[in-house]
Amino acid sequence: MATPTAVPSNTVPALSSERAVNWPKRVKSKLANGLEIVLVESHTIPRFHGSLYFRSGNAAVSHISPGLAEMTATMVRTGTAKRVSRRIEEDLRRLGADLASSSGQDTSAISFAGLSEFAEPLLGLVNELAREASFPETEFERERRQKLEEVKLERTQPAFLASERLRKVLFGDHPYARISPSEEQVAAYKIADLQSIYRASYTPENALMLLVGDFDPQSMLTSIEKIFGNWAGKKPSIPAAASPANPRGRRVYLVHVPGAVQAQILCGCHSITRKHADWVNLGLTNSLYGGAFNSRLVMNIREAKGYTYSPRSSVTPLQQYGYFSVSAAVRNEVVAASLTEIFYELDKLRSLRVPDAELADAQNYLSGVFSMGLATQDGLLSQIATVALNDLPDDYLETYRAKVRAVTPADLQATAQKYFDSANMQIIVVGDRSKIETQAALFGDIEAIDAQGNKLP
Amino acid sequence: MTTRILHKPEISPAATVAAFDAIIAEVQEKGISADELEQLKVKWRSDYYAMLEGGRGGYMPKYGLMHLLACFSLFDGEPQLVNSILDGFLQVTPEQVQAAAKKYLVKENRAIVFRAPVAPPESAGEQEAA
Repeated sequence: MATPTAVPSNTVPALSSERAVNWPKRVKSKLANGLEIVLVESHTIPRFHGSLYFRSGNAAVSHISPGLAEMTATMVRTGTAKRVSRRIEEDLRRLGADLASSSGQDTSAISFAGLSEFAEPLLGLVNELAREASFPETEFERERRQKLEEVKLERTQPAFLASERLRKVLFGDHPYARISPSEEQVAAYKIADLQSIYRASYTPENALMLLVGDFDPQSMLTSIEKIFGNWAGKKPSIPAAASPANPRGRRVYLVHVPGAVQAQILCGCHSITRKHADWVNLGLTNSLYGGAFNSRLVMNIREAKGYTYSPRSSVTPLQQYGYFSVSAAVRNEVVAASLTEIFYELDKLRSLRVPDAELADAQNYLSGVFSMGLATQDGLLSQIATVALNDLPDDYLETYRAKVRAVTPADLQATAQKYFDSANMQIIVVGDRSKIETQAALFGDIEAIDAQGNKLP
Repeated sequence: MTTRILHKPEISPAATVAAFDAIIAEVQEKGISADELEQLKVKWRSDYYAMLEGGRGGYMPKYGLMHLLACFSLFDGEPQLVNSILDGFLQVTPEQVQAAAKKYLVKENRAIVFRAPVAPPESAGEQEAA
């Protein structure tokens, strides 16, 4: 074995230039019944990852009750006309496969992964779940009990209470305002509602099949046609949603949790969706502000001042609207100090140009993380799903790194001025009112609420 | 070998351990069927490949492969074992499973940790109100 002779240097070596990506071949197709298909070759391991997406989720049915699409997705996995729950689990093991069903605000999905040699039987099971789910009564009661435990538990978690309140404040009567059901709403879930959501939204016209992995696209396409070809169903009709709230001016919402030993801060304002032309610029601006570990906010209130362990900012792009938010769990004594720094760093990016070297670091980070995200089958799947579900241009992934590299300090400042809307940021603070109210009141008029959402005097 | 069991409050810890022991005793006495072992081997093979790509999420893709290469280099001097280690697992017979259960899954050789929530003291409500 060779003995290392070089003396370790204490300076960071220069980055070499970024390597080209070998973009995987993609095959797009559409069956006569409307099912959209995207197949991506990735021969790294003899497996494949897939998702059967439906382009509607909790937001589309929130007029009936919050979280109903999610409960529908949960039930889809618990039994079909041909297989009971236990049989589904055994068959998955026999195929070396994993499978999950879930639903977010905008989409529902049956996601799966398994050995390439068993692709057909696994797709056969997916087909059964999408078309013949049987909604067994006993499974429904079990899932409902579990959901009740979940909603009880989440109401004890400050980060959940903060997100729930921010969404209410930013979205008002729009379905995006409702992120989780109450215990009463879960108790009132009806199996017939789940079945009608299933019949209306699990249809080929509403669906996108995305597969990434070790397979030949042409023979995979033949298999999909054979298995899903005689499926039929229209797009669901989704009621028009109310316009979201557009809160002007800073306002503070204090969610009172008696005895809390720290405070959860969450500030947010409306921003943009993935389809917007400013998306890459905003992603980079956010990465520099608080989206990465070496970002300004983290260096300031975590590293320099020690107010918190994990401050973060992010842009959440839902399908119809997006929002920007900043979060930090801080010690009770430094609520005002933390808010001051949060706004200072926002306003600094709006006021002063970013030094070239700092911008270059952020560009390297964002571009490098993006490249790593393409290295595995499930990483590719998530990137390609983003493109397909948001109807982004076909060359979105291919051109992403170049777009990140092209951002200038002037672009970044303009982006911060446009989207870091510090004058209209809504401020949520979750914690013990007696410890934090006077500090929070320095940043705007206060509305106090309890953990159940009731207004406090 | 570590097993974690989360049981419902209405089931006692002793009853839970008894149910666990009954499953082990069945394997020790009757072994497992060839069909069940075949299912497990397919899942094992699939999970092995998945592990090569996964491990630390998007920030460190293929961590599993790096980790195995490091272990096989360090402990065996043979990084290429990453290509053949799976074969040994796929050759295991039902008899070997039964023999391993008899030899290793014995009560003399194990420790059990029960982690239970502490019941709040009776005066807790009054303290909170005070």
